[in-house]
Amino acid sequence: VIFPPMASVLSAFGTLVTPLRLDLARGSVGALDWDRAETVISEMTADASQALSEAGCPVDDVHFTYAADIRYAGQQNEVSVDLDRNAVRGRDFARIRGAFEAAYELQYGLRLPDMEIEIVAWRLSAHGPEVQRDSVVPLGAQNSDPKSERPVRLQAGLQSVPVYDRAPLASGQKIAGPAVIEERETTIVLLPGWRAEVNDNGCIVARREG
Amino acid sequence: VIMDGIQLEILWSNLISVVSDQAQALQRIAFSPVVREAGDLAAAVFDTQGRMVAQAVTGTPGHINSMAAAGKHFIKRFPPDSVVEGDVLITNDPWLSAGHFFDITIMTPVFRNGKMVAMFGSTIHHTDIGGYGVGAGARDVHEEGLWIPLAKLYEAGEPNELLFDIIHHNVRTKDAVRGDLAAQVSSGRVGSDRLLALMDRHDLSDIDELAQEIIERSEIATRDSIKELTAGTYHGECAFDIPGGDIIELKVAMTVDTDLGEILIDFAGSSDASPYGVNVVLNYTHAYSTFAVRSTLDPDLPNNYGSLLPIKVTAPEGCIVNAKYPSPVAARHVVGMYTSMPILKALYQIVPERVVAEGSGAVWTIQVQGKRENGTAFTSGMFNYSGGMGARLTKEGLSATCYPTGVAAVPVEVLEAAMPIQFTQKELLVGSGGKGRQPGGDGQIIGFHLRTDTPWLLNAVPSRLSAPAEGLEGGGPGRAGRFLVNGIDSARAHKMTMEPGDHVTLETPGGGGYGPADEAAK
Repeated sequence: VIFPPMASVLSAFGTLVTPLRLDLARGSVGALDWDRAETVISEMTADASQALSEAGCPVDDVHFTYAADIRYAGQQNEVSVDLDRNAVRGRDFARIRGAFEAAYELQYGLRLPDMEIEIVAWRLSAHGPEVQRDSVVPLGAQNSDPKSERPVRLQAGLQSVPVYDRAPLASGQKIAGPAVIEERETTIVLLPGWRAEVNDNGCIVARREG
Repeated sequence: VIMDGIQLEILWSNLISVVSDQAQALQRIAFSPVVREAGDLAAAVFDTQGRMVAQAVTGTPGHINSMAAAGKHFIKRFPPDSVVEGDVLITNDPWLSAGHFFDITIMTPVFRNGKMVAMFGSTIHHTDIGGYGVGAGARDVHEEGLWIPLAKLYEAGEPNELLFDIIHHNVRTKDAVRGDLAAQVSSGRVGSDRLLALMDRHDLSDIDELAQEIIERSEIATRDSIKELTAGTYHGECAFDIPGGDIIELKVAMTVDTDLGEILIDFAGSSDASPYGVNVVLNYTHAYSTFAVRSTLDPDLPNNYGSLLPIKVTAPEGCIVNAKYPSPVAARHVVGMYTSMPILKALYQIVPERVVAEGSGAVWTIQVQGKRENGTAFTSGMFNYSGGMGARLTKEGLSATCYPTGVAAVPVEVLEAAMPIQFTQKELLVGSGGKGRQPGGDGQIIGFHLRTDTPWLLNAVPSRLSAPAEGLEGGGPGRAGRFLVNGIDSARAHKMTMEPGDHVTLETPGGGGYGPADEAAK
């Protein structure tokens, strides 16, 4: 089990270091219309580029991935299929069908070779570049001792358990369960039979012994 | 190794997720609206003896409990040493499975290390099966469509092309039937994959011990709950009208044996088989009878071979709820869904606080056939609407909700998109539930016509047009239903030929009330 630093229900830090991404979809009802497909994909590309650029991402750093929601004619649920941009540009229906049937077979175990397929929506994802970041948290210079002890009701009964502050723990420091490690965002309860180690990133990696 | 309770509970809830995944796959990729929108399906896992171990929490008792009965027929015809990996089995035999040709059951044997360890079964209502359609007008079972015996639909992974060809040539909606069969086959594979992954995780080489443990515990718990009742024989009766106006009477003598922990339900004295296609095979009677008992006594217990075993159902041969070949059976739900009502009245004498008053009974099913405005022919799948449910001791009856079946209504928007039909209204019929300390649920009024300029066909299966739902313990009766064409009462047993502008109105019946109404005013 890995406990990243500053983990919580919703991580504000996580939203800052996650690469920018915008997903768009446009419906495609009725018979396949290649001209309209080109138009909606171009529109989505322009919309997404603008949105990412407004969010501070240089246009040259944006890359796009494409997909379509496809089903056999007569169904009401679709499979989202990743597509190569050139398959749409080249109006290569056989390639799109092939990609759909491969994805469908993976999910449902078979194909319906002589059944019509329907493209229900075109999808585009615009991805910003990876966000550079340094090792997240400063770690302690040397192994730190528990700050206190606290009674904890474990399976074997009530037991006095050491309580650590997370911040001063050093990289490579090992802690054997039972123990409690407190952080502003999260409290880690290490059960008996588990051993935790702090790694270079400040993550605490807990393993069951034996 | 005897499993401990915690291990069993973990495996049990895992098994429920496996069959739920199977059912969800089926519902996601099915073609017919009644499966994907109304949930008219069953999915379950069976052991190598053909005993149902766990079922997905979805669908209808008619499907799930009939499929439970079908398990042993599949195993008898195809014992484990006669199937190989990649085989998929099929039947729609009314007497071996769910009581009419529309319901096709698919069984997928699962193999581990070359040995069969389980089967995944599914039953769904298909859009068409040739023959007469979803109505009561056929004169014998052969007029009702294609009869598929117990057979292999796939042999060692290869489709049985001849059987597929026969099916495709005998149905009006080839693509939908083909797509729905594929959805059933897929769902069997999804179930198999999930089960094998579960067996890997828990290092199981078979599920025999697990199945035995689940079935045995379910059986013991069911017997224990029966042993708490007061022994004796209790009687119940129910009367209702079917399309064409005939009155059907169902009578039960329910014997509670508190020594063995068994309930015997005997339908002797009920009406004889009908000349119309409303006859019920014993499997289906058993399905709804056991549901009535189980939903009253111990709804929280798992539903499987073990919990169904202590409830025995008999009916004289040739009676309407034990119909014999060649009786027509296509609209068997009309009578089958009422089999719960006399049982509830018998149960009322021992556990009055737990029973539901009589309700509207069967859902009203509709099917239309005709031509679109561009001239192409179409046949709709079945769609259905329910009346009100009966009231309970401390709660009113639910409106526009069926009991005992669990099938939902297909949204009108979905139907309007699938066929040239236009709905003009769909509203609750406020006040149609019976009066009472707890009032019965209200029925609903639904109006529609077709967007077509050629004559069209209507198969409608209403009931309770003259014999409304009775109240319980002094509660008032629900209002009877009405079936109108252009404002005129028009119900009949046979398929009707309609003119382009004809307008159909359904007023579904209300449920019965519980307890006298005047007490509510005090």
